Amino acid sequence: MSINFKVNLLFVGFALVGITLAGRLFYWQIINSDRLKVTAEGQRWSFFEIPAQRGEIKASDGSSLANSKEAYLLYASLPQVDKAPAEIAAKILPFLENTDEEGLKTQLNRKNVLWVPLKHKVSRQAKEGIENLNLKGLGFEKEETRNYPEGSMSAHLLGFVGVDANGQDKGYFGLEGYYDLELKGKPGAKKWEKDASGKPILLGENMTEEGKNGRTLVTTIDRTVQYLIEIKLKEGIEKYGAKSGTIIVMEPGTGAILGMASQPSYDPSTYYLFEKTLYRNPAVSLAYEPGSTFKVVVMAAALNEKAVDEETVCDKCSGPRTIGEYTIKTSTEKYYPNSNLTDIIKHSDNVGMVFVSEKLGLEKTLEYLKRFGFGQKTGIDLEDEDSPALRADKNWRTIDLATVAFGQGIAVTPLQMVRAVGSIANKGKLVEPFIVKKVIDGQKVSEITPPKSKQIISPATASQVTKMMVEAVEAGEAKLAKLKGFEIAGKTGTAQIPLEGHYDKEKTVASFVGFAPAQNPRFVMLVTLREPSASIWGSSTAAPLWLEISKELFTYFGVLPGV
Amino acid sequence: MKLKIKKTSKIIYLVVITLAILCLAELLVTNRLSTMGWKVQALEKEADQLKKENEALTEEMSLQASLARIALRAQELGFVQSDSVSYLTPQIPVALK
Repeated sequence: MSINFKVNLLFVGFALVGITLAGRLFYWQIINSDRLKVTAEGQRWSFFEIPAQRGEIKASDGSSLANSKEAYLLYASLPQVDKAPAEIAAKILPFLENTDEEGLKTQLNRKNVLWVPLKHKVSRQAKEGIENLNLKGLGFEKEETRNYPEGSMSAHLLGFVGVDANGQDKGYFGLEGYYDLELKGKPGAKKWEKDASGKPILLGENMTEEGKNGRTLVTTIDRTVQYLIEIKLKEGIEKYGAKSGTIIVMEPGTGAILGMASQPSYDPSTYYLFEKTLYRNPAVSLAYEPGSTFKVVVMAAALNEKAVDEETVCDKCSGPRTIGEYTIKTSTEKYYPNSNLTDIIKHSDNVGMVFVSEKLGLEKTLEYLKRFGFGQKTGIDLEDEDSPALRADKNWRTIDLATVAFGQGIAVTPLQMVRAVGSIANKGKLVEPFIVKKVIDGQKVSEITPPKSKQIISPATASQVTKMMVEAVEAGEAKLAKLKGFEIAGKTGTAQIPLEGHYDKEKTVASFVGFAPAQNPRFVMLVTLREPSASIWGSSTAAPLWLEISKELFTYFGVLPGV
Repeated sequence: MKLKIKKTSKIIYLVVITLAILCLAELLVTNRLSTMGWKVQALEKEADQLKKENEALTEEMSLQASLARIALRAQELGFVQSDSVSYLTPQIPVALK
């Protein structure tokens, strides 16, 4: 072999090694550069998100209605798992609520992934139980879950925290939904250099982005009132065989909601176990025909417009009224000729109310419906508020003017009704109901000033209607259950439920709305019971329930008889 | 001239010694601080543990303070709801001038 050949061979050898080295360098530095960069960053830096704690929701006395508690994400680091997925799933399943075993097995059987989430919101106790199983490859990452210390109390008011499309916590319905942005806060982040063993290097680089915990809401909800009406509503529904019910207690002077309960309800901490139809708050979204409770609204409108006065006598009250093809009767089929206005309210006289609404006229009736807030939302700070629309002005017929006088042919929500009657209690001023009175952001406390009330009827008119309502309780249908020494202004209601174009004869919404003490009301309250089977009448069901609750409220608020 | 050189040398020695001491001090501090990472981690772990305990206590407190719990506890202790309420009205004095 000539020396040239050997030199050339050596040259080729070196060239091949050089090309191989260049190729490997190209592979690692160009093709794999991104991956290596990430790995290098991971080796050099610790990155850590500082989660924002969701804000608390408190009752008016500062006690917690909703707060956050410790929870964990259970995950599996698949390369480290050393047992069969089925075995792991079977062992951890007893510690995990509402979890599908097949779902766990599917996650653990996944290929081409290093890390899989198994279950979110695992409790501390469950975490400890699973850790004691000493299963390799399973780990926990801290997260938080929502806690409702009062259980299912105030469920409709509070709403619940679920997850959005990105898997992030989000509030739905009630206060959790309405104030989601305020409650959520903003997570922070921390990044620092670490040594080979993972410990932070004090003199190394570090960066911190401050996060912000969610704001805390202090509500107007009186915990005792809320608890009372929840218990009484459940008892009332059972006693009177009703399908559902609602109670609202409001401060008439300010619009502060002291209590709001509806049944059937759900537990916000396990909302996923309940029907979705239960999530919406019936007190602010379910439309119903108010029946005779509406008479006080129409009467107030007529008195305010001076269409009628204290001297007015009904000269069409001696028998049923025929309007077109319809006949209007009283509920008892008893008639009271020459009734005055107080008699009309006292006897809950449908025929008498038709007389009043005819005196008021269609145009003014429609104006006052809007003045009292019907056909529009009240503006309460709850996500699920809705308002049934009023019939367009041009679509009102003579019969509609007649039926609206006794609360049929018009749909309202319970909150709209209690707000309207609250204006009578509040000397003619209509308030805007609200629930959150304070927002706490760290050390900063912001008081929320309720919007100004609107004078919709004169104080004199309000006083006249109040007297009629007192008379209705003293000598009217609800007189059997009245409380001695306490002056209560109230009105019963028994509204037939519309069904496929006609009114059902057997099914009603029984209700009672009122305020007390009549001259200086501490609260205005509405009780509605849907389809009570014990009796269809409001005077026999909703009224006694209302009075039973008010007896407790008088004691709680320290209201003395004779005040 | 000799005196001047002697003085300059002394100053140089002083500066060098000071620099040496400062360098040594920096080395010692840096060495100490660079291994303090474990202490930071331990403190963070302790802070985290205390935060967890605090959260657990807050959770327990809110549960115990719930009205349903209080009502149940009251029942267990034998408290009953009163059916009748008596109202005490202030008595007007008999003799009035």
